[in-house]
Amino acid sequence: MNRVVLRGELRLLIRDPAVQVALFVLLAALAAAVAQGLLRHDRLLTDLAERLYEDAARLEAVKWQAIRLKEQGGEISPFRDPRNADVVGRRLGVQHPMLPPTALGSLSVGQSDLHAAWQLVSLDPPDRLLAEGEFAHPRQLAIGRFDVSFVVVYLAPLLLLGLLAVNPAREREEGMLPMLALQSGRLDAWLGLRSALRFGLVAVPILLAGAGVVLWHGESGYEAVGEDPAAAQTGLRYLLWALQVVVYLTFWTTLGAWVGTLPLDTVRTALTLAGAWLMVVVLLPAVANVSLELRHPQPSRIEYVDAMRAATDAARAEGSAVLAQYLEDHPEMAGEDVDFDDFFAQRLLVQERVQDALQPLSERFEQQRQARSRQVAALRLLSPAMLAMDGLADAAGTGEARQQDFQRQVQAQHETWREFFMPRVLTGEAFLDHDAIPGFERTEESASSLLARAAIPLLLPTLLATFFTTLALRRSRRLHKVVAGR
Amino acid sequence: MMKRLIAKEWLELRRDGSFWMLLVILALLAVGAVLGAAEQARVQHEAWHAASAGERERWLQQEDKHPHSAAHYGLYAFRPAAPLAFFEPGLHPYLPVTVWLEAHRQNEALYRPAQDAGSAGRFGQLTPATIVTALLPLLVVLLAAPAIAGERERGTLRLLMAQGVAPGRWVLGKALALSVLLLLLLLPLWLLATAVLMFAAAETDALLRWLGTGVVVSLYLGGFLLICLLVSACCRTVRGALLILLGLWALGTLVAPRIVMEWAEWRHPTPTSLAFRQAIADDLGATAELDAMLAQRTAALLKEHEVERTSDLPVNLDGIRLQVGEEHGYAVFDEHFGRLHDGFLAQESLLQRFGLIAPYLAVTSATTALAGTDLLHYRHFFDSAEQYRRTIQALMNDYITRHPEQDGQRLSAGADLWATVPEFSYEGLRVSNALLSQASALTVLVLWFLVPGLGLLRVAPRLAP
Repeated sequence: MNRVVLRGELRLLIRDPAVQVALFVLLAALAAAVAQGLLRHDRLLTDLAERLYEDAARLEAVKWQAIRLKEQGGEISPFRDPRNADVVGRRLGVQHPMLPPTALGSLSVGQSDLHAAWQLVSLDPPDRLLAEGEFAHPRQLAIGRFDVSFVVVYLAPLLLLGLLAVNPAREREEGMLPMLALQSGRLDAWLGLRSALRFGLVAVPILLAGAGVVLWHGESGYEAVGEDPAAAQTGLRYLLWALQVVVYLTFWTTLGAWVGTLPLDTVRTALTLAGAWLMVVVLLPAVANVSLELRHPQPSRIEYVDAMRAATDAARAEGSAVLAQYLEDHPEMAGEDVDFDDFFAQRLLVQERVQDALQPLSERFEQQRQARSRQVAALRLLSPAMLAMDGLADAAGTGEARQQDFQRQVQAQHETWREFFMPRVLTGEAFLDHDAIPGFERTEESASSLLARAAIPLLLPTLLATFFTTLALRRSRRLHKVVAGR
Repeated sequence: MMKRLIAKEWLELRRDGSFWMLLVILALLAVGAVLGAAEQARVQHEAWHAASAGERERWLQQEDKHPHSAAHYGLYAFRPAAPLAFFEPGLHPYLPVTVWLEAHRQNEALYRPAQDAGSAGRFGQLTPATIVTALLPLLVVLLAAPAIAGERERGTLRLLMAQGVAPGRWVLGKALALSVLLLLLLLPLWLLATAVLMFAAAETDALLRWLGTGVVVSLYLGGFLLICLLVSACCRTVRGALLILLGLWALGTLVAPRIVMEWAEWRHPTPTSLAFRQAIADDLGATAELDAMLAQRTAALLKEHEVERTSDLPVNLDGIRLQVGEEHGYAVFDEHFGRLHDGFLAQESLLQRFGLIAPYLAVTSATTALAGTDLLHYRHFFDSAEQYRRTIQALMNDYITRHPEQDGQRLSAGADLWATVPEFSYEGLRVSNALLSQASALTVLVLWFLVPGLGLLRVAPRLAP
């Protein structure tokens, strides 16, 4: 194929009104999505930084108040006493572990509008604290966000298909194909070039928008919460995000190119492609969800709360016996100072007993949730759109996996917190170890786990793209023989 | 003529493979969605009933204790499932299922089902209402796009006109024929859903809501059909009509709702949970107002009982302090939760008005309101639960106030006091409240039906062959 054909194609592409409209729609959608993302990112960073400052300032103030009370004495309610370990661990010294947004966080909202980017660690029961989510209008959660992922998964394929398939069908109808076959030398190469140009037209602005956002944000999320920016793996995340975009759009390009070679008129071509888009983006995910609800319904939180309350009652009914039992099990705690009627000690131990009683229920709940997650992972293979949505969110650090990883680390911090405060609450001694309160140090997910999760969302569309490319090549070669008479 | 038109349309449909494929897919999805949702609603209702009864039982069977301990023990109020939630779960997956009612704090409600659902739930949630309002319009596009443009493209329109057929009557006939077909398609789904509703022994209010939903959906689908015919009448080719209508569908159903929602959020920003909780903590921590309220109440008591020292008061000041503390909190919570919910409702109101651009927003807003699965109904539940919490606090604190501690003996109350707290029996909003809240959406839907109808009436007599 010679340069003349390439130049001609480029000229046609630039002058085609359909291309101009598609490009305008794409750029406008990207601009809107990026602007929304930047605003959300900035607001989140401001809140996280403020919270971080508040936590540190409050703990410092509590420490000095405790020292002052120790040295100078004074009246204070036991429920506000900064020398009371329970009060510090439950209220005054509470901690807010944070999940920093990555540089790509604003490109794919993922699950980040549902789960909060922070959690509360205190002596209160962790299951309730971990359930607290982010605020958003529930209709917005139901409808979904207008982010760059939405543009990639829903809009870009529509634009690509509109550009790819209707033109060859029209050219065939208008008898242009034989001429093109003669001019370009090989029809398959001409179709490949045409598809690649249109793919580039859609993919390049998206990739550039992504790169721009990454450069703009940098590692500001990590810096805002005081984490090591080197852990952000921004380069790898962008690479995976960009690969996901490329692979997903390649799948649509090859599908569109193949349908364009089928012996269909323009209406049938348009309908077939619209049907394919509808199937992949709307119907198959819907089928997956119906099947999920029928086979793995969500475990009931109402039943969970009911069981939790019953367990709380049972533990409370035992009253101070719970403390005696605990000290029998943990003789190292049974110092001379233990007060069996101490309100704070009893409350904490009742809470412990409730958590123990709830353990089987929590485990069952978690097992049900994980079984459902496995089913979700299997069902998303039904649709490249579902895979792409998950893949983009995962790469952006707003997917379910990073959130779950954060929750697990917060859960572990709850355990550390409890282990730190429990002996101090039980002995009831004046608490002055404010500097020794265990801090939260989050570990970012490893590159290998990121890569492992990205494998399937990248692989399946690639296989499908290869399949459609083979079909398209075979059809276009046959078409070449027919129209060029060779 | 109408009979012949319907027969002709039916014959054409019988020959259309893609129509049947889409119809079978939609029918299977619809049956699966209705049965799945009905079973889910039944399980949820049983869990709700058991948990609510359990809470009441636990409250009544508390041991003897200080009333303030009982206030801290508190109660969980569970959000009941709406009777039409099986058809339109609406916002329920994104709304918390329970709220803990305890002393001192108006807690945020907990446990949104979507938080446990994983990422799949966020992508392609399929409900019977979604099938009717989002997917069925696609079938309407397939049916109606070729209705006039196809006849024009094939040249049969010219023939019909040459035979003296009045174009206005012919287009009306087409519209009626397609409406009948659409009704026939909807009927099985409607009957199945009605059977589910009757099986659940729905009350009159629920039946009225169901009827209202039928009207709203009919207006929406009718409007969609009229727009499709209008576009078909104006386009020279079926290809053009299809491209325009599919584009309109994608824009109105997928793109515009998200853009409008983002814009509504930008106009009425939602605070982050972090900022919200900090603001409440700051206001609750500002005790100057609380101290002033307490001083004022104490002064009033001293005056009322004509004594000079609080120790001479015949009441327990702890109860007064607790109640004043609660009232100070009420003002703070009302302000912050009120502002949060008002912001959400302002966003919702914008959505309804933008229904003119994307009527999908108007129809989903109306169906969720009629199903009782919208924000207004949730807020009513949340506010009712809070009122109930305040009733409990007032009863407990009043008891403490009326029982001054004697000889250093810690105050204790028992079953008699617990029984004075009425059971939390939530009375939901009536259908009239739902309809009133949807005035903008309903107006938009009526316009959505009338404007293309008038347009078609104007275009049809001047139809070009």
